Amino acid sequence: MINVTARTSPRGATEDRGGISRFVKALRIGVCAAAVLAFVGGRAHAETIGLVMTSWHVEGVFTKDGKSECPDGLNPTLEENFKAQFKTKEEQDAIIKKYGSTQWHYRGPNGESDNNSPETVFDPLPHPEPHATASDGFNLDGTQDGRATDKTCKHDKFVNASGEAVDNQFYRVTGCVKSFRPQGTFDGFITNEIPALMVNRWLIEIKGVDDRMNDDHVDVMIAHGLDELVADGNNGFVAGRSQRVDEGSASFIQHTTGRIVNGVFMTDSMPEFRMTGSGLVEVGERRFKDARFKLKLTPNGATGVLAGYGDIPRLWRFYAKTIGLHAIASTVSPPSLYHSIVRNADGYKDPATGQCTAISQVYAVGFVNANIVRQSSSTDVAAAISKGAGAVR
Amino acid sequence: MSTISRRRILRGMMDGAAVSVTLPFLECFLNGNGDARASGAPLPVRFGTWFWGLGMVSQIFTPKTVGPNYDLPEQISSWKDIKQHVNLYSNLNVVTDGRPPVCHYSGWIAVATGEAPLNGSSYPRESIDVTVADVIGSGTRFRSLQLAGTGSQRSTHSFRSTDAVNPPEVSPTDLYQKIFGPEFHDPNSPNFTPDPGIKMRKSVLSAVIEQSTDFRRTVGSADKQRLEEYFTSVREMEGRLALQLERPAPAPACKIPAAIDKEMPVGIDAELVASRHNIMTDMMVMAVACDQTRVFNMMYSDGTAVTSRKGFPRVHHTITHEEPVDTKLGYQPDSAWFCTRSMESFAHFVGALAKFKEGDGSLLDRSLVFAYSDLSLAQAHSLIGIPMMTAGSAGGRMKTGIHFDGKAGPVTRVGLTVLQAMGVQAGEWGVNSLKTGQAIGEVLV
Amino acid sequence: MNMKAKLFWASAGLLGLFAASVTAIAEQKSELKPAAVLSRARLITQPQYVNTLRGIFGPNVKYPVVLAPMHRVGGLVDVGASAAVVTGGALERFDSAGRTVAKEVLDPSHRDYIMPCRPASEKLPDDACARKFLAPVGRLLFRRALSEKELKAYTEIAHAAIIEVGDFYTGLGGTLSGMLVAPEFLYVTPTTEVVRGENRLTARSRAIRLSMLLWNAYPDSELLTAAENGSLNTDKGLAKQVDRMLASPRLADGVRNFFDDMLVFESFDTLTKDGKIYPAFTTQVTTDAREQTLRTIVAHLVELNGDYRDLFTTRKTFLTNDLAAIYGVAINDPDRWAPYEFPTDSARGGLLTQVSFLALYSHPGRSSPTRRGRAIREIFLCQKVPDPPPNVDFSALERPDPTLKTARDRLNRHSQNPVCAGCHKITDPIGLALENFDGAGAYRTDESGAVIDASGALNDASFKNVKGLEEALHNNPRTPTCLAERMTSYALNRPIEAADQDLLNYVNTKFAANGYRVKELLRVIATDKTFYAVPADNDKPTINKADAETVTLGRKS
Repeated sequence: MINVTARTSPRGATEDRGGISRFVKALRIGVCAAAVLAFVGGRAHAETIGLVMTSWHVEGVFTKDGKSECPDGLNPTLEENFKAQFKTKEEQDAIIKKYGSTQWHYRGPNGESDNNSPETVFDPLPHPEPHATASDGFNLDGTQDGRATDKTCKHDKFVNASGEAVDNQFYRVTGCVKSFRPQGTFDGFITNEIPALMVNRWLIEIKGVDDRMNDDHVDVMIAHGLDELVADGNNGFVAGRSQRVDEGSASFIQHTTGRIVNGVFMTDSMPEFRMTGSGLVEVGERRFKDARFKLKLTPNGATGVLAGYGDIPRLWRFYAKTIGLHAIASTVSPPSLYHSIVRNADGYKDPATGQCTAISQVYAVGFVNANIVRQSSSTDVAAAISKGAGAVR
Repeated sequence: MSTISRRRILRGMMDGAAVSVTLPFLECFLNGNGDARASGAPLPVRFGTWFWGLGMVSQIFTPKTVGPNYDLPEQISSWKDIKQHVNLYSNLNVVTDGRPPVCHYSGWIAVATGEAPLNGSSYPRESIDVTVADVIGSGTRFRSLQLAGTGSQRSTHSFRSTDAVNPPEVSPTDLYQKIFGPEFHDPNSPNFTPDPGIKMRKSVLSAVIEQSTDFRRTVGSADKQRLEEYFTSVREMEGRLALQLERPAPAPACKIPAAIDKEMPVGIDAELVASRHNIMTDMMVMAVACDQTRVFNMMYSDGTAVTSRKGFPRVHHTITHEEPVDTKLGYQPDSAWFCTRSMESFAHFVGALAKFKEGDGSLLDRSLVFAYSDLSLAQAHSLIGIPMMTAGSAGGRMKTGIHFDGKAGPVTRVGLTVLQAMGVQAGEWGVNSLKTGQAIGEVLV
Repeated sequence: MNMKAKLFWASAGLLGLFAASVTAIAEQKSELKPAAVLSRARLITQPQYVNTLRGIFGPNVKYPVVLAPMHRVGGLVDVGASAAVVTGGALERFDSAGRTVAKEVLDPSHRDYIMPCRPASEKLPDDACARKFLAPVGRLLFRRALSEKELKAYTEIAHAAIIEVGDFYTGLGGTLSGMLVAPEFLYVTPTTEVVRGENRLTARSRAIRLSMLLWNAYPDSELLTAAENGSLNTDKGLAKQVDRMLASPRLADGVRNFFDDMLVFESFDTLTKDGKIYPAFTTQVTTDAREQTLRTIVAHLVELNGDYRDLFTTRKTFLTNDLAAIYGVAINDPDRWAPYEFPTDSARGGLLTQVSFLALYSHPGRSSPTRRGRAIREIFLCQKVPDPPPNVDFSALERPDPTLKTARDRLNRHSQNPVCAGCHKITDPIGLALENFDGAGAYRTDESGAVIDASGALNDASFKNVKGLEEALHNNPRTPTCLAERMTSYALNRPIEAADQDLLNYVNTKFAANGYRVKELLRVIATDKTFYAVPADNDKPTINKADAETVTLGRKS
C-alpha cells in the first residue's frame, strides 16, 4: 500500500521525528550538568573573554595610491623582470620552449624555478621598499635603534602610536608589493579565506579577567577552532556565536599569560607560537618566535596585532607555492621577494655566518567575541556555559 | 469572447453592482485607434495599478500650477522625464458616511473599490483592476499579474471579495519562472507546435472537473457561491491552456529578458525595496510586451509601510507618527524622505513602460496606470486630498501631463474615469457619498 | 481601574467569569446541545497540503509549496480557510504546487518505492498499473474509496494523458496533478446523516475533522478504514483512533501548526532587522527563532506532556549557534539544534522571553513595549486591543528630548495625552516588563546609558521584572481558557459564538482537571460528542453517495 511504503524509503531514511525525543532525553541529562556548571560558575567572579579571528593583513602604512610610503613606486611584475632578464623575443621563446612553461618561472642558470629555488635567480629590476616609519608592533630585539647585537642584525626601527620603537621588517619586504597591499591579490585571498576556510579559525580565550580595563594578570589560551564564521548584517561577522576548540589538534592548544592595560590586552612573549593558516590559498603552518598579541578590546571583539619572528625557510615555503601558482595574477616576482626577505632579516643570527635566519613580522588582526567551548574537560565547559550571559545581573 | 467573462459579467449585473458592464468590444475600440499588429489585429490596451503607502507631504508634493505642464516640487522632481505622461489628481477626498475611518485602510479601499469599508478586515467589493480584468484580461496567459516590492505574500490590492484575493509575486526569480519559464511560448517564434504537456494538462483538468459533479451536491448553500468562484477560476485556467495551444498573435515588441537566477534577500530596507520593485517592474514590462498579461498590479509598499532606512531604528510608518515636525520646514523630514523614494520608484515604473517601444509608440501609450495611496498626510491619517495619478493614454483615450484639481470632490471620479477609459461601460461608480457619475472630462479624449 | 477600562475588560476578557463557571460545572459529562453552527467548506491550507501529501508520499519527496495566503478569522488563519475562495491567482498556486509535487513523486528517484507496480512499458499506458496507483492515492486525497466508476474514469484520464505525452510516468503525474486541483481534494465539506432520528456528521467527516485537529492533515488509511467500517461511530472505536493519533509522531505536525497559526508566525516570512543596529540578527536567526519556539512548544506539550501554563516560565528550550549568539550564551554542539536550559537566575523563561516573540513585536531598530503588550493580550489572552484613533498626531509628543532615555520615559510622555492613555494603559505596563530585551531579543540592562526599570503590571498583578510577568501570565486564569477557546475554534473550524459558551465551559473544566495538558485538551475535544454534533437547523443535510455506501458497510460488519 502506498501509505505504508511511503513512510520509509529504500534507504530506510525516515523523517527526523525521533529528533525531539532525543532532544528531550539529552535535555534531561543536560539539566544535571547545567546545575553543576552554574555552581562552578557562581564561585568565579572573574570574566572570560572569548575571541575568534576574523581578519589578517600585513601591518604597516598603506595609503590609497601608495605614493607617500612608496616613493620609488610599486613592485615590477614577474613578466617585466623576465623580459628584462631575457631581452629578445628569441631568448624568451627559447626559455619557454625549453622548459615548457608559459609562466616565465624557469629562469635559473640551469633552468631552476625562480619560485622553488629563488636563491638562484636575481631579478634585474629593483625591488622597491617602503620609506614609511610608522607601524604598530612590539620591540622584539630590545634595541631603540635596531643596531646589530649577538642575536640580531642591523635594521631600521619603526615607531608605533605610543612612540615605542618596534620591529616589522616583513613590511619592508611587502609594503610596496601590490599583491600584499589592501585589495591586492594576496590580501584579497586572505580576506576571503579567513571566513571560508576552517584552517584559519583561531581562538583566543582570556581567562580570569577581573577588570576589562586593567588586570595585571590574565591566563590565555590560543587554539584552533572548529566552527564557522557567519556574516552579520553590517559587513562584519556575528559576535557571540559558540566556537569549539579543536581538541584533536592538541599541539596547537597553546597557553600563555598576559595583562590588560587601559583596555588593551597583551600576551607575554611566547617562545614559539604555532598556527595553521591558508593565507594564500595553500594551507600551511606559520610559526612565530618571541610572539606576542596586542589587542584593543571592544564591546564586540578586539583589534590589534600579532608580532614575532618568522624563520625564513618556513616563511618562504608558506608563501612559495601560492606565489608560484599566482605569480602572474598577483604580479609578484618570487626572487625579488625572497632576496628582500633575506636582506631584511633581523633576528636569530647564525653565529657562523652572521646572517639572520628570521624576519620580524607584524600582522594586523581582527576578532569578534565568541563563546569558546571545550569538550574534553567538564571544567572548561563549565566555564563556558556558566558565564550565563542573559542572566539577571 | 469566452463564455467565462460573459457569465462573470452577467453575474455582476445580477449582484446589483454599481458598475453595470456590458460585453466589451475591444476589437472595435482598438480599430478606431489605428494601431495594429502585422496581422492586422490591433495592439491591446493594458491596465495597471501602482500603490504606495503613507501618502505625501503636500508642501513639497503638490504642484503650484494646475492644468498641463505643471511644475514639479521637490518630492516629485524624479518625474522630470515622465511628467508628460502623468496626470496628477489633487484635492479629491474620501468620505466614509459614518463608517469607521480605519487608519491606512479606508482611504485606499475607497479609491480602489468605490466604497468605504465597514471595518478593517474586509473588502466591501471587488477592486478596480478585477473589474477591468473582467473586460480585458481573458485573452492572455495570465488574467492579471500581482507584484509586490515588499516581499510579503499579503501585499496585494487585487481581490474579488475579502476571501477571494489574487496573491502577489514577491520574488523576481519566481516571477521570471512564472512568465518566462519552460511554459513560455515566444509569440514571435516562426515555429509553433502545440506543447503536448499543455494539451495533456488541459484535457486532464477538464476530465477531472467533470468528475466532480457529485461533489458539488455535498456543498451547502452558504458555500455554493465560493465553489462557483472556484469553477470560474478553473474555466479561466482551461481557457488559458487552450490559448497556449494556439499560435499566439505576434507581439512585435516582445523580447525575452535574461534569466534571473540570484534570489534577492528578504527585507524592507528602502534600497532593497526599490531594487526589488525595479527588477520586477522591468520583467513585468516584458511580460506585457509579450502579451502574457494585460493587467498588472504593483504594490511598492503596504498601507502601513514598514519600509526601513539603514541605521534608522524606526520604519516609515512609525516615523510618520513619531517624528517631530521640523518647525522650519513645516513637515516631518525623515517621513518625507520615504515618500520621495516612493515617487522615484513610481518614476521608474512609468519610465519603464514609456521607454519600451511598441509599434509606432510605447507600451505606455497603450496602457493606463492608476496610482494611488492610502491617505494624504500620514501623520494625521488624512483622507482629504489623497494623492492619485494616472499615466499613459490608454491607446488614445486619455490626455496626459495634466494636474487636475478635484475641488474637494470624491476620489471615485478618478476611478470612474479610469473605468471609462478602459472601455468598461460604467455610467457611475461608487457607493453613498462616494457615488459619482462625473468622469473627469478634462482628461478624457 | 477607571470606568473605561472596566468596560474594556468586561467586553474583551470576561475576566473572572470563567473561574466561577468552571467550578460550577466541574466533572459534568458533556451532554450539551450541538454546536450552533456547522463549519463551512474549508479550503486546504498550505501546512495541511504539505502534511497530507507527506503522509501519502513520504518525507523524501520535496514539497516546495507556496499557496495563496488566507484571511485570519477569530485569531486563526486556519478558521479563515472556511471562507477562503479560489481566485484565478490562488488556483495558479494550487496548480503549480500540484504539478511540482506530482513531478517529484513520479521522478525516477522516488517512483520505484512509491509506485506499487512497474508499467509494462514506460512509453505506453498500462491501465492495471495506473489503477494500482490511483486507487489508494485517490482514496487518501479524496478521503474516501473511489467508486468503480470513478476509478475507471481516472484510469481513462491517465490512459489518454500517457498517449498524449508518450510517457507513462509523465502522463500518470499529469493525472495526479489534475487530482490535486480537483475540488474534492481542495475543499473539505462536512457531510451529515440522520441515524435513528439524530442528525450527525458522517463517519467520514468525523475522520476528517479528527485528523485535521490532531495531525493537521487529511486522514490516513487506518483512520479512513475506521470510518468505512463504522467503528469510528462507536465510543470505543473513536477512543482507539484518538489514542493512536495522539501517540503518533504526526501529532507534532498538528500542534506545531496550531501554534504557528495562533502565534501569527507567518509574520516571520517578512521579518527583518536593521543590520546596522542589530548585526547579529541574520536571516538564519529569523528562521531559527520561529523553529526554536515551535520546538519548545512541541517538546513541552507533546513529548513531556507538560502544563500549558508552564510554557510561559520554562527555562528549557533548544538553540542553534546563530540563536545562541543573540541569547549571549555558549552551546556545546554548535552544529545542530541542541537542548539548552537557561540557569535559574536567568531572565529568560518561557515564550515571552524567546527571540521569536521579542523580535516579532519590535521595530526593525528598537523594542516596542506597546506592540509586545498588545500581542500578549491579543494572542495569549484572547483580548482585542483597539487600534489607535485615526486623528492623533503623535509627533507633537515626540520632540527630541535628551532626558527621555528609555522607552518608559518616552511612553510616559505619550500617556500624558488622554486620548493615547486609555489604550497605552492596556498594553504598556505589560510590555515594559520586557524592556530588558532589545528589538532583536538580546538581553540588556540599560538603554542610552540609563538603567532599565523593567517593572510592570498585568491587570491586578504587578511585578518588578520579567520574572513577575512570566508568573503573572502563567497564573492568569484567562491564559488557559484563551488557549482552550482558540483550540475549540480550531477544532470546529469556525469562530466561537455566544452559543458556544456551555461547550467552552465544559472544555475549560476538563482542561483544568487534567492539569492543563494540551494532549488531554485535544482528547477531550476529539472524543466529545459535541465536536461531531450537527445543529438541528443545519443547512439541508446532504449525504453523498460514497458516504452512504460506507455507512452501510459499517453496519454490516
